[in-house]
Amino acid sequence: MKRKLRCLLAGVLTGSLCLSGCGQANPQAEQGDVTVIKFPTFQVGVNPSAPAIEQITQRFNEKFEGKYRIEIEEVPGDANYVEKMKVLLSADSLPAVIDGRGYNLLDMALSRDAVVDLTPYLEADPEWKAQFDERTLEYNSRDGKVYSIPAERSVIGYFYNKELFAKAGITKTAETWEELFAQFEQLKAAGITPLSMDTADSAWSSSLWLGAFMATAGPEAQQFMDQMMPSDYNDPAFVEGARRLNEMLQNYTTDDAIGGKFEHAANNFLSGKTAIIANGPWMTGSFSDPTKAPEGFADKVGVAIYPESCVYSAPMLGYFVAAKEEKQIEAAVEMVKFFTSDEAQQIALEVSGLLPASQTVEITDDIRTKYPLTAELLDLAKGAEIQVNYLQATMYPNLLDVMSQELPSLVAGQIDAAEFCDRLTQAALKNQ
Amino acid sequence: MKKRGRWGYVFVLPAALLFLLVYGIPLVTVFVTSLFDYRIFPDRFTFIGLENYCKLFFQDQAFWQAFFNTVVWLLLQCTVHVALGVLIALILAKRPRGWKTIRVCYMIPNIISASAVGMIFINFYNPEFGILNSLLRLAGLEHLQHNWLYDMSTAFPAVTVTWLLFAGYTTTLVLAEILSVPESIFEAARVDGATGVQMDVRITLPLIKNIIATSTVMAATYMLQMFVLLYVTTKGGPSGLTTNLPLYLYKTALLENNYGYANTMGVFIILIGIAIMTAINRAFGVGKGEE
Repeated sequence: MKRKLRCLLAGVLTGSLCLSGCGQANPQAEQGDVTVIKFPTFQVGVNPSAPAIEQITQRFNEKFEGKYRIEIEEVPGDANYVEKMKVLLSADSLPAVIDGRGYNLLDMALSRDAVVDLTPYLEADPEWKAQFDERTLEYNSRDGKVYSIPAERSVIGYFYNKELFAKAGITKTAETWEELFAQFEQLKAAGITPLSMDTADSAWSSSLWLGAFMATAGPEAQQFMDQMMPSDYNDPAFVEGARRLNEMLQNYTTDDAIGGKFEHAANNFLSGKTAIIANGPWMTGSFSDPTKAPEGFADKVGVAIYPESCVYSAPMLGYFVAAKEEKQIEAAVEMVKFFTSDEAQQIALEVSGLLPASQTVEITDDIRTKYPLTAELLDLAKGAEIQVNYLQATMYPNLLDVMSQELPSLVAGQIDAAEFCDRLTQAALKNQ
Repeated sequence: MKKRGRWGYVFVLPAALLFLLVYGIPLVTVFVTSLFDYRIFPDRFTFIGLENYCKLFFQDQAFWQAFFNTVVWLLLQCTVHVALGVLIALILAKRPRGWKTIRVCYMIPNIISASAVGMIFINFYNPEFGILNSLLRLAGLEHLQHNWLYDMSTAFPAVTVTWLLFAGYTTTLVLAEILSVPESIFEAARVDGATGVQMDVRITLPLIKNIIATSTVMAATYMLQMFVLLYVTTKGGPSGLTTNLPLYLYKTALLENNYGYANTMGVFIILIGIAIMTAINRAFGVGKGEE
């Protein structure tokens, strides 16, 4: 009896394990002849790029009706998106197409050998390849193979409220950091909170200022900014940047900046409560959106690059394919091709003011009229002496949480700027 | 008798198998992988013996902070939270006017999802437009205003309040138990001249000891599993001040990609869970005299 019981147990156990092994979810399903591409994205809801992605998806579904269909899975918040992708990556069930911009998901996926080499597809389609310059393709390549294709280029400065500037007697944007801090004082004296900042999620707006301080601290500091995944933040220039960021958070921003999300910071700027916010041109759509800003607000906004002639201008990582089966790869590549096509980038530019990665998408006079701030930022960027990648594009993803955790302590005086940088270093070293 | 025993095994088999598959195998996996340098990006799986345990106990300050927070919250939950639930149950058992409505209302925070409760408290504590600071401003107490969830001095108590005072489950369980005590016992006490407080302390509490023990066990397990409220409100910040062991485990695995070390914490959480449950059962003498 005991022996039979053992055999029975072993049989049931083996059967159950086999069944559980067979039950892995297919991230990309097939319904009849139509291949469905499940596409998780953070560009949904109040994200300024959401209308563009929705329209591009709709256009793709129309074009490939009966063959492929994209189904968007909403993952609000880019930090949540990154975490979700990491969970799916560890479970070996990544979606067919991943938006790799900003958070270096590409290298993580590559370390698991989960990314499709797009080089043969690019070589087979010279028109598609010709859209991108060498620098962009190189940025999206590893070991000579192109693994991701971007639809967007990053050019980031800051926006300011011209009306509030005038009220404070400011007539031009600052060319040096000293001038900028003097303007903060002027704004404060006029009863205006100078800055919109945040520390929650990835502390996006605050980290843009930190990166700008670093980028303008000399040629070595600029090299640091373009280095992928640095592990030493104890650089004196970075410590000084953290000290000045702390000064901004302590003296020149709103009470809800500490612990506040970027949405809070944006809302403070859009409601005219603050005078300045650091962000990219994708935000310009919000200035004329009546659900987000008061009527006529867009006319009050100006754009500038950072002091010392600095701007964030660099290629971005793009979409990459993590599908496994031939038919799924075919559909996913088709989707990436469409999302990075001139047609899609034109839609993104027109609908959300997103700067195209393609060198063949023309920034027409109509676009310049519709998005004067984007056009102005592009012109300013062309003349900028310092052009670097932004901090979060190059840092280890776990540092986003550390930034968010430690900035409140820095502001509270629990730690100083050197300790803040040391904590970033310690967290970066955990990845090695 | 022997035949009946065999049938017993057969009937227990499906549940035992299910337990083995759902909990048993993962538990063994957690323990085994805690002995490895186990990372996913890049793929790494190297045996390192007890190195993770040494790091956990002797080098990792953040772990001890998370452990300390977890212990404090456990103690508060097993004492203040349960005591509050019992006290309200004792009051409601006297059937004051509107007691049924109060019972339902008190249960509401326990019914709402933790994410929603978290969002409510984020808005409640908002330093600019939150109700708390607005009330303080109205009362002329501006100097008491804080950025409650992110100020180093208020973050811990502010987060604790999001669950500590809402003892609806305990109240419901204890109240049901009190209402099932035969009325004749209380009548006899009244005839003997016992006061309301004497009846509560000498009769009701000893009779409901087992359900209080159960509520304490539930409160402890709730605290050992606490994650969503912390994740939604502060994500464990500032500087790990509101991080507990499950949240630290999650961050170690998902953000730092260190699955072996995270599983070391997992083993530790399982062990302290077992120790706490045993201690609570012993403290209340649960199971004594049942055999």
